[in-house]
Amino acid sequence: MNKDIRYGVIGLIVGAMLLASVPSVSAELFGDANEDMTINMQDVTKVERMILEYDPVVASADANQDGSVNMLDVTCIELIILERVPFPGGHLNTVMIFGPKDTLDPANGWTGWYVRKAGIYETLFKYNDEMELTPELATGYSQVSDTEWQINLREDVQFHDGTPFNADAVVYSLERVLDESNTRSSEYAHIASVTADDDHTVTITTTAPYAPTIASLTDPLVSIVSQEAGASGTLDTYPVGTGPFKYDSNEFGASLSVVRNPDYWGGGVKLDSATLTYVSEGATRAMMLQSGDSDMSRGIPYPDVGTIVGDSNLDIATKETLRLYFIFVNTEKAPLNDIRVRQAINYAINRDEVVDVALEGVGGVSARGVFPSIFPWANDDLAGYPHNQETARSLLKDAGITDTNNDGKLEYNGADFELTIMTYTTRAAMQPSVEVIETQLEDIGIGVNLELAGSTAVKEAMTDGTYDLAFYSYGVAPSGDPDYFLTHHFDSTAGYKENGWIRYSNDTVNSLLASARTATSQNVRKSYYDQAQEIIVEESPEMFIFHEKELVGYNTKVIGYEIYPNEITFLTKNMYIGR
Amino acid sequence: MIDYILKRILQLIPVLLLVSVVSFSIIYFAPGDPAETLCTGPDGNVNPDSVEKFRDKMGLDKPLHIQYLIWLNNLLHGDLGYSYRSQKPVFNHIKTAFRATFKLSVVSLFLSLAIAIPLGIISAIKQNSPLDVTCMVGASLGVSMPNFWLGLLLMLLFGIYLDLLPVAGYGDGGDLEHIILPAITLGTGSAAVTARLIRSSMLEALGQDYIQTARAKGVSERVVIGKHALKNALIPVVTIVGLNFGYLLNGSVVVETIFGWPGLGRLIIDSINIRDYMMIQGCMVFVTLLFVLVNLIVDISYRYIDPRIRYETAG
Amino acid sequence: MKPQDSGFMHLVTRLEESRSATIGATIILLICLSAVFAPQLSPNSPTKACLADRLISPFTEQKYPLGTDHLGRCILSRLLYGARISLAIGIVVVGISATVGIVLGVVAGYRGGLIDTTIMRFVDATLSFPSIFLAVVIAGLLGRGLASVAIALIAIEWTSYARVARGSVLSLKEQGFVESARSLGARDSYIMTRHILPNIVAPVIVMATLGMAYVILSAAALSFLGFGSQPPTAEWGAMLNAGRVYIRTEPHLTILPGLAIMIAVLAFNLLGDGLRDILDPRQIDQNGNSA
Repeated sequence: MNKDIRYGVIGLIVGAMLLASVPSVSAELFGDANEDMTINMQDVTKVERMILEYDPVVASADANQDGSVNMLDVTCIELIILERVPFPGGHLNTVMIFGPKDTLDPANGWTGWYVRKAGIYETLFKYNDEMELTPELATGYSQVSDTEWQINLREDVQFHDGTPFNADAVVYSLERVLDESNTRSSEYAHIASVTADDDHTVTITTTAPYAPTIASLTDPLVSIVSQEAGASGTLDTYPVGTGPFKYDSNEFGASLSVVRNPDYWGGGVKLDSATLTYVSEGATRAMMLQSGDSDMSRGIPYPDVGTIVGDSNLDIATKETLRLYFIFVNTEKAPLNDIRVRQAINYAINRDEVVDVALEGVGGVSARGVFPSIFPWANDDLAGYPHNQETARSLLKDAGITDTNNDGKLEYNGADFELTIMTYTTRAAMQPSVEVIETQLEDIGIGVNLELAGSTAVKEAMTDGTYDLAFYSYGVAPSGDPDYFLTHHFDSTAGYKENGWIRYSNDTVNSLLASARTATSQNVRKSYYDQAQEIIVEESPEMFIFHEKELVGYNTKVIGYEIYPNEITFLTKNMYIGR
Repeated sequence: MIDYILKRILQLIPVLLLVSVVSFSIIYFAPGDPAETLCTGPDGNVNPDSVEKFRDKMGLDKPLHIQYLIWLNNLLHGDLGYSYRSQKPVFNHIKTAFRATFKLSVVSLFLSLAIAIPLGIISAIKQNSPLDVTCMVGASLGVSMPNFWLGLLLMLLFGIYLDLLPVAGYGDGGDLEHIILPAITLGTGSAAVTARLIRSSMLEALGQDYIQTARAKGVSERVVIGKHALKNALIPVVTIVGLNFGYLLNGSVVVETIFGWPGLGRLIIDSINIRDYMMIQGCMVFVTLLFVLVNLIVDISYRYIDPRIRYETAG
Repeated sequence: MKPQDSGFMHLVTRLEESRSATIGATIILLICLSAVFAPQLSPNSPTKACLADRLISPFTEQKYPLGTDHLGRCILSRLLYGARISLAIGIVVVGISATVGIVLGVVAGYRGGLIDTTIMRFVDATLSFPSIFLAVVIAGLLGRGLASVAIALIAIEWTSYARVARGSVLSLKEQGFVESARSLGARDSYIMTRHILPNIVAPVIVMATLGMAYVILSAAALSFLGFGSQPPTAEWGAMLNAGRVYIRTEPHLTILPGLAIMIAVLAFNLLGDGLRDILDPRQIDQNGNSA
């Protein structure tokens, strides 16, 4: 026993000393002779100048890493440019918030999002960083009839296991999702069948005219998987896709490692490899970035943004996303069934203050409607609810809610007017946001009780209709189409009505949304959605507070990162470690 | 000896049965419909059809006592059921998570013993010296320090200000460097408890007659302490290891959450948040079995090491 | 073992024998005073947000001696009111646990037989669960709130009292004490209140003191994990949890509540250890109390 302990102590001390003494290896981008963090023809010229001794030799000019700078390096750089030799992109350590916990199969729940972010899987279509719908594994589509969509596939793609990407793989991948046993199959109920017309053409038939059909193919749930890997039943633990990165190793709940796919159809992948680490603690993610444990960290806590921007080696990438924070209103419960009360609450909320305080001014932008202005489907004419306590008070007065006993608090039906705001805490912005909203409502005399609970308890209260207000966060268009959110939340014939989540019903909204779902012209659809949004904002069955901004901290040596507003794509072939 | 072990194991049966009833029923007193929860994604949207199908598949529509008997029967066959969320065997999840927790616990245990044993012994030998007082004040602080707070402070100090260690993470195979901070956080409390116990048992040993005799015979102080007192003082270490195990298992709930360590503590918190009842039950049963088993082994080995100890059956 | 005659007052008069007990008792007294007089001592409201005064560092503005949090609430006031919550949870949990534990323990020891077996099996079963695991599951499933935390901790805490109570009853029985009292015609209730209860007062006081430390610490941990009080209640564990995102920029939001928890826990531990030293240390079961 004693001996063991002694060895243990010695081992730990030695280990700690070793750790402390490891010199930090500074990554060089070999081939980047002019040190502009990328490799191009200018580097060829630069190396030639060094060989001719016009310019001093730098370490990064040694492209083939043989210890000297000579004509071989010129050749090597040219080969890198021609993508004959892998780009020396280095290894990227990145910290994410959520990750796969029990499976790597994209057709399972929300796992597809995680493996897509790691660059393993791709879909037929995708949204680019400007939220434009673009083909990915498809080359295009044509609408054959109201319910038939013909999709042409790329012919130059193969899966990581060497099997070819073709129509069979697409049919196989989609049918895995359409299968009844898939818990998310109901979201694809609009698809009646998928058939292979030839090796590189498929036709999707919908049960009814459904405009967002192509958009629905961007969800990572319908990632295209290798049929062979699928048949062998190993997709759970060994994903095989077509993306720029191949699966390497995985520790559920902790990390996922990928390596470059040298045969990527989209051309040279710059990074050699990457590790995605999953850390649910925001402060920890920021600290990992600052201490150099990670090169990139998603979801930097708002208070740390200033510190990171102030660090000369670090920076923050930020962009509005499609994630909306909003309040579900129980429109059946008095006095919230009165439109004036809902509008009054809307006016009483100071959205800018929520953003400035709860999000430290960096985590979001005030919302006027469902969609952020970066989204093509946003109705830019909406005025929303500018903060106005006077309007709020007079609307409440009209609804019979006034301070009758002059105690500074409003009364409704002889009792203090009190509201309970429920929310859950899995996202960092939730609690501070409701705390600020609480003070704002109390400012005009409404009593507020906050109730933080598990998301299950909140959902239950909503189903049972026992809630007043519930603060929530949704991605409003994961498939890039406006139909998803608007229909689920406001169409009383098609959405959450059946499980009791919404109690709002408006025939005009229903018919506008139904028409928009089947219309084929983008402009016509948009005008329907614009009208529907106008009514929804006016009647306030939900109150839209702010659109989240993605805050990604990164070390400035990371080159080529772009934020995708739909939170789906993360690792791309263009990223690499510069220096 | 064999008799004693058998008796102990027999005694455990009713306790474990009760544990199983408690584990099973606790979940059903709680609000929340697992079927609905599990069929709802992060962005809402429950499909009533899939909820029904799920209930059917998981046997949630059967009466409670039948569900319990089925569950118990499976349990006895080593089957902890399937996670509601992942639809994979609970045991697989637990196995993976336990590996992480085990790694962390072992390192913490060694760390805490490595700190506590020398400090406890020195404190006892130099009783009431400034060193002793410092150690015991330190131990009091260590026992009283909230581990979630200590973890955050260590992260700040070593991860950021000194920049010596990674703040969090779980490297491939749980790198040594990743394990140090969580292990210190987890080990501090138990080190403090252990140091105090070692000190008092050492003091007790030093006060025994045979030590006095040895001293009187002119045996050098080093031999007295090293050979006689230490040997006796270290007997309780066996118990301490057992005690510490419970301590560490408890601490893992908080420490794993802070450091993002994918162990049992985090698994159970995650499972509670999404009401993955099968997983919670499985974790409870597994952790309890482990706990009971360790205590049993400690009891037995204690008895083996020190035959003077006689156990009473009364709890 | 002879029946202990040290009652409560006796213990108090012997406090000065132990330095740690004296220090602990003094700190506890101070904490209790600040909890009781929180409304008088607090410079500001503990729950009222003042968004214009947010994130003020400690010792910079007279109006907020210890600074403010992310909503501009006074940290000092929140710490003072937080002492109320921590003490209240401690007292409620320890009080109920001790009462339930002692009653069940005495009944089990006194009656023996099936009742004894049943109760003690429950005790054994509860002790077979690692305590925080059990508490987290109970509190988590009951939903967020201080009541859930209290229930979860009571479910764990009562067992140690039951064991001690039963132990002393059995030892009294062994000495033929109960038998002789009975033969003299004493009723069960008389024996219990007059002979048995006084005997367990001393160990129970030590256990309860150490139990306070354990409960305050565990309640804070549960709050930290998100199972505790609802905002805007000032509760130390929840304050620490909310301040956590500001750990880099405003470390006082994390450090101060943590210090408060540690000081309170330390005080009860010191007092408990001191009391144990004053009494016979070996008489008390160490198991449930060291954490």
